[in-house]
Amino acid sequence: MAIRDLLWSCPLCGLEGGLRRGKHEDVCAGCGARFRRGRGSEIVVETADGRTERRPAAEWAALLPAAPRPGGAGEWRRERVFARFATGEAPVYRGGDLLGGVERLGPPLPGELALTAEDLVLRLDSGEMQRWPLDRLTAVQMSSGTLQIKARDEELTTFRFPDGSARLWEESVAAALRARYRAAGRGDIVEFQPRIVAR
Amino acid sequence: MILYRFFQHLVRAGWPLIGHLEVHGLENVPEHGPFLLIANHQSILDPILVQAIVRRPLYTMAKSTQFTGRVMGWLMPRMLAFPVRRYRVDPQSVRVTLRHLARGDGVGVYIEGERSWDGRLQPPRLGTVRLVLKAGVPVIPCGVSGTYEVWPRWHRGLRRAPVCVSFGAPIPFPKLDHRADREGALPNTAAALMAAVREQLEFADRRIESRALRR
Repeated sequence: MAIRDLLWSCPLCGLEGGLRRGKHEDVCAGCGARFRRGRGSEIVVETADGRTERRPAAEWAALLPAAPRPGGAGEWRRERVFARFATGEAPVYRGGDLLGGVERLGPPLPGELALTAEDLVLRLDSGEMQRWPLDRLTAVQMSSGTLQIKARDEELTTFRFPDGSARLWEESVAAALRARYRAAGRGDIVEFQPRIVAR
Repeated sequence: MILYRFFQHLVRAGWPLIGHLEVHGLENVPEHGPFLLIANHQSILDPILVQAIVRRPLYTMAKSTQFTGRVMGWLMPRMLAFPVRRYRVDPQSVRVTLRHLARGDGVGVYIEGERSWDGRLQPPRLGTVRLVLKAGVPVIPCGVSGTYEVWPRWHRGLRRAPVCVSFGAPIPFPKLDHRADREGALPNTAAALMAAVREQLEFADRRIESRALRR
């Protein structure tokens, strides 16, 4: 994972998804500030005008808004991704004891992911398309730098964002789901994993 | 078990390369009998470190994606980890936990369910709270401080930093066999667990701060 996952919005200029992968650091596409890790959990920021600021990660994170700003009726977000679809599960044993199941993931497939107020849409470079209506999502989470979604009666799908922030997407999908549940009178979502629960 | 013991020794011997390690309250971990060790989660290093410190074998719940790949798929079970699928209700992980406890083993669970992004304590996973009420075994609260400075979630790479791990006195919780009873006890149990973990974490934080002031 990367600093752009912690700081899914630039703490200096406020651009959501502003931090993009640079050569050795993350760089804000809005204000040009460069972010790198310092000592411990310190994040060192060099602004475009030459200033340097050092703060603990928690202090930078505290400057972020509580959630991404919801989008309008149309497309809210779009990003290049590598998608992997679970094809089943493999059992895990220790000695003769079954410990559980581990998802088998297919190969990474390049494409573009888009989020609207109603759904997530994946358009693969191969031309195939897959759509997940937000109402059918049963879980949303980040894991090992990827966004994982689970829809009703479907297997797990993961998305890796080579240049963007998986966490911004997790927060954005969560915000879209909250808005949708409230608008539908289904209550406030209190959990997103292991499954979406609203009260 | 030989491999597990080897890694315990390796981590204990090698940790000084990462930084100073302080351990408090290890005597609170029972030498015999089942227990649930409930800890906060700041870093990928937490389970490795806690397992190395606790002399008894500690079975640990880990996310299922940690078991993918040939090497990790082989290694994780031998490190006494068992998978939990975090994107769905996973009764198998509960069964495995209860099976270990019935055998008299200790099981480690990270109550936040995932690593903290900013190092601060996050709300508890209610599934863990339900597990505590279903199991009815002593809970050892554990605070791990400093691993966020060594290896935070948002960066690959180690930095040297002092770490402190603190274990609190065992806390008994009732065994509630009926789902309705567990749901009714959920809020108070969650609050009690988080208060216990927070107490250990804050103690560990203070130990690190006082060490920094002395230097």
